Amino acid sequence: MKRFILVCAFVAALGAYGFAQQSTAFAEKPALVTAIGQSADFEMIKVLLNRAKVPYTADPLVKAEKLDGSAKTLVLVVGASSKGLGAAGISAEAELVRTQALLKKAKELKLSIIVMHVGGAARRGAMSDTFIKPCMEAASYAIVVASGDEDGLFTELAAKAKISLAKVDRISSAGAPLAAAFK
Amino acid sequence: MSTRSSFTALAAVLLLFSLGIQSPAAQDLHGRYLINHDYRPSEGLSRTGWLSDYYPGLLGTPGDSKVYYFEGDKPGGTLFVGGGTHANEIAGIMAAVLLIENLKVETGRVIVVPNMNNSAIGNQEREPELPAYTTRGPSWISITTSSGVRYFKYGSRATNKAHQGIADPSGGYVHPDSSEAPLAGWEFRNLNRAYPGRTDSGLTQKIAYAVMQLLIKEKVDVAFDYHEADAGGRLANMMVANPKNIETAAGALFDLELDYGLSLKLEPSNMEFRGLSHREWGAGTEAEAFLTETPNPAMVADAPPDADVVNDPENPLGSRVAKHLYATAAVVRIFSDGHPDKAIQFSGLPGYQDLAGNGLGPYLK
Ligand SMILES: [Zn+2]
Repeated sequence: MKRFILVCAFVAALGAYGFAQQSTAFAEKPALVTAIGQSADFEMIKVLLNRAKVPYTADPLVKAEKLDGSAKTLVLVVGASSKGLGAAGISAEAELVRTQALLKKAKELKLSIIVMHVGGAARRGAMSDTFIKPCMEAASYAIVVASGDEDGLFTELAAKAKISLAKVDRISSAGAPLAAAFK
Repeated sequence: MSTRSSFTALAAVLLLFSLGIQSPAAQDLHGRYLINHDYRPSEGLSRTGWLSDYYPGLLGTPGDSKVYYFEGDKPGGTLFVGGGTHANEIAGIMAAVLLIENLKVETGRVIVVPNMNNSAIGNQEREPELPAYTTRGPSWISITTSSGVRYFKYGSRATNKAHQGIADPSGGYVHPDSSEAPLAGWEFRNLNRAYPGRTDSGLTQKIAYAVMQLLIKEKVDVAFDYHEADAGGRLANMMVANPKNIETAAGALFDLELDYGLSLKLEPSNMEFRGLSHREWGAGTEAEAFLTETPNPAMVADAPPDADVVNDPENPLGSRVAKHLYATAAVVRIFSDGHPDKAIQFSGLPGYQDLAGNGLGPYLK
């Protein structure tokens, strides 16, 4: 019995390992990066893309109409900031409407979608989670800082969407998997 | 001459005599009401001045404060560092003091004001309308250095009521340019709600005005305001940046993680919320404006009255000071890379891990 449990654990670990790796670069350049929930994490991801030398345009409030196929990959920096939403003059409801329209248009244009959640536990909670769910359903790949997945929400949503999930310990470690995702 | 008029003449002579020895022209009023802080500058110090040099209305008041200038041989940009905006946020003051006692500038200039609100440093009155965290803490902290035990003043969040000159507004404090709901009346004495300041108001507003004039006149390129917040709270371990320079902040935060394993949160200033340094310095001067917040154990809402603000096991003073200084150094490096003509280069700081691990003692004179 003990051995059986061990073997199961080993298989599960292998599965999790395979599941966590995005083995091949899939995302086309250039990218368009936007902030879903208007947190300042958006600024951090711009630095990551700069340092990874991925060409991109950045627009925290970009609307679906602006997607014209010139950007091939949509990078969604997900996590709600009530301060950020207030400063941008947009309600959480309007932000969700913008997000859903953006996801729909991205699907029509067959864009790759990379979800970045790098704010940890501070970017979780009821408001953030309403943004996280639709983004994860539409995503091709997700990179999250592990402290934001302590309850396993991202693991569960990634499994449901059958996408790879890269978990990193801190924001600066998100650069390598993000760079590796681009062709 | 009647007895009465000769008495008047005598009084006039006495008055003239007393004016003679106390006339502003004959006596240096600088620091008249101030604590003589025991700061021992490094050999890199070029000169000292006063906030009142930028607004003479502060001269001889408890709101004046010493300004320390460090100039490099090579021309470049100017960094401004302010500690003690809130005088109970001791890591900000001590980070500025550590700079003063160790700094050597090679390129550009560094200007340091360790006690931005010198009225608040002597003010620990437990005013009932102020929350407990604003005044909690020791009156002095002590640090053992190679020259013996040294003492540094610990103060309160707000300007002394007796120094402000104008009573707290009974209907609450509203920044003159704000359309937001009134804050508590005592916030009229909060330096970090007073920028860009004014000359026709209370002492706090005059201090803010002088700081703005300094930033403008000295053509400051990068400005830091050092703060502390309740350990474990939302603000602790954060860098706040004016939106115009948030990219500099984001780059610096990456470098801090990569170089020292130090993770700070990032927030842009809320441009609607008026009076804060990072918002008003950034909008009203050429400077890229930043504020750093470290975790102070005495600022936790239900902290004990004797919370140890120096040797707290989780957040010792050395680690908090290291966060302020290395966050500043990281921003300065990114700024200098992007503006080679305004580069700022300095040395003399203890290593990040050394300072965080050993505390301030070995690095103060
Ligand atoms: Zn403060």
